[in-house]
Amino acid sequence: MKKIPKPLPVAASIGALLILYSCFILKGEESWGISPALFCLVLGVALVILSFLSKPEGVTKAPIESYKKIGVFIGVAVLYALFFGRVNFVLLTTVFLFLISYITGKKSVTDNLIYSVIVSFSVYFIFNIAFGIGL
Amino acid sequence: MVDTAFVLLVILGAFLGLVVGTLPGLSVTMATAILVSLTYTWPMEHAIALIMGVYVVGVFSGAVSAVLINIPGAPSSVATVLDGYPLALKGKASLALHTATIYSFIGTVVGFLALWLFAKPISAIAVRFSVLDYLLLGVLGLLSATAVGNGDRAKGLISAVLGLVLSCVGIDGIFGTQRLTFDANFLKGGISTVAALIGLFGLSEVLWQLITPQKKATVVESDSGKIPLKEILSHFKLGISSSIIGTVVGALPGAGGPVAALIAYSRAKSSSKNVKTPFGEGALEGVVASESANNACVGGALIPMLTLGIPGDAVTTVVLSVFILHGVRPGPFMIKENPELFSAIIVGGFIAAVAVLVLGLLLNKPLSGLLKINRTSLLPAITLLCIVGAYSVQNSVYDIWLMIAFGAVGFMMKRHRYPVAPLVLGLVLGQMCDLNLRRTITIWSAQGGFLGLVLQRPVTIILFILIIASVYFILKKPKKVGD
Repeated sequence: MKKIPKPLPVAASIGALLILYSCFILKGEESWGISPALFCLVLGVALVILSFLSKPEGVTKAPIESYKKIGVFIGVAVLYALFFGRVNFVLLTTVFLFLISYITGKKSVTDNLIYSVIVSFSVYFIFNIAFGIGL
Repeated sequence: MVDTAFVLLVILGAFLGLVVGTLPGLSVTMATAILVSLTYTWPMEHAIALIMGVYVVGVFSGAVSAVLINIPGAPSSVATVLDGYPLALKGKASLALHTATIYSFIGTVVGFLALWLFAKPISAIAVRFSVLDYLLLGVLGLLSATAVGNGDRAKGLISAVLGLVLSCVGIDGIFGTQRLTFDANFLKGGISTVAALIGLFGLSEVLWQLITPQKKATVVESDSGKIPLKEILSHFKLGISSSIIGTVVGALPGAGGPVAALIAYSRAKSSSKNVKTPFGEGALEGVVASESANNACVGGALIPMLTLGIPGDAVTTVVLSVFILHGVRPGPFMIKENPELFSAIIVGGFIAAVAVLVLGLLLNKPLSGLLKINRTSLLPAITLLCIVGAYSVQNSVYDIWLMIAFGAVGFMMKRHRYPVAPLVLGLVLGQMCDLNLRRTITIWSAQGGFLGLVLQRPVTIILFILIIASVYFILKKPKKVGD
């Protein structure tokens, strides 16, 4: 079991950036107590302090295939969002579901196609009729 | 207020809750987060009805897979596994499921009775809260959400602070200036809570399931025996005391069903002297304690949400967003100004409790069939619902992007063992904390003394003591409740 370091530097960096950002806004402000930057400054300081308090703890490294799967899955979702509203909903959704079904493990092309068409039409009709949301 | 549609929607929600609760990997939070976005065009009572059905029955039905396949269908059924599955192996699956059903019903009723009895008095006290009290309340909510959680508490706090940071994005509530928007138009409106909720609880769960191999579980068939009511009801006293524990723990922000169930279980274990079967080997008392506590938690978690605007657990954070979407801000004035909504929640809860009883007793045997469904076949449809759900709130493609981003963040947090619930709580409570911090400083500088601001109000002193207690629990080494 390999260990990979946990991303505490992320918290510290966000905290430090927040402090810088707040100081930039606070510059020239007279009433710092009610300045919009005050809360960000407090949170930035809190994040920096907390990033030092957490105990080091590793996580089990997942096989590279798992990350590939997640990457492809998110990529397909991003593409779907990119074309959402520009291409016919049922058509776009059928293609999207077909690809997603394949990624999640359903390998039969015919099954995937039937599943994708049924779910796309169902969601289209349910949203338009029951929920009154135009897709 | 309570019409046929209301009752039917609770029942529909109950069926949905039965499915998501029974199938491991599908969570009640995920289902309610998606439903919020789908029902926002409905009358609020109807949206509440559907969500109450899913919430109450979803918490109960986690027991089905806990008993029949040794995997809790919902996190709150984690303690039910300990004795429920051994009972099933002994050929008493039906007894375990009937017990879970009856005590889930009792727990729900106790929780909602507490909500009905205590919400109004708490609201009456809370209307007198000062801005400092509200600030302390927000801080207390975030601290207690971290204090009761397992694992690294610093990570819980980091998660809460990140939620607060995200709540700052958009237009400032006092001066109207932009914060953390970096001149991007899409950030000016702030972070959509619903899109964030769907991403963090819905899509992240789908991504998690993608890398989690599905265990081939052997389903123990439920026997169709008669309901031994006398034997089940002989644990009534334990059921009531566990329900009270569940209600109290549920009222602590961030605690939720799993903590309530484990505390009630360990209390039952230490206090039950003459048990027929030892705990862990099929003691009916274990199922009674766990199931009554986790369902009582539902009513308990709604108390701080409705009276103070502080959600008790992840699902009540979602319920809170239902109110906000419909233009109602839960808090001390909510019950007085919107009594019909308060009644809708109470009535919805009681109808859902009856649904637990009816569905649990009637569908005992067919439920085992539900467990044979391959959950990966549901993932594409859930992903689609997450996307369409995020879009439908504001008809905005930007919300889809936001939801996908939060899905990835939620997945990474889960992977690195950062709790997601404090982040959501921070996002919800951020504005309240920010505004009241700055208002307190204004009053403080006008009055010229912070100590005077604190010492003249007993409520403020109590809140300070509670905050100190929370900090003490956070600093104290976490102890496993089940041990």
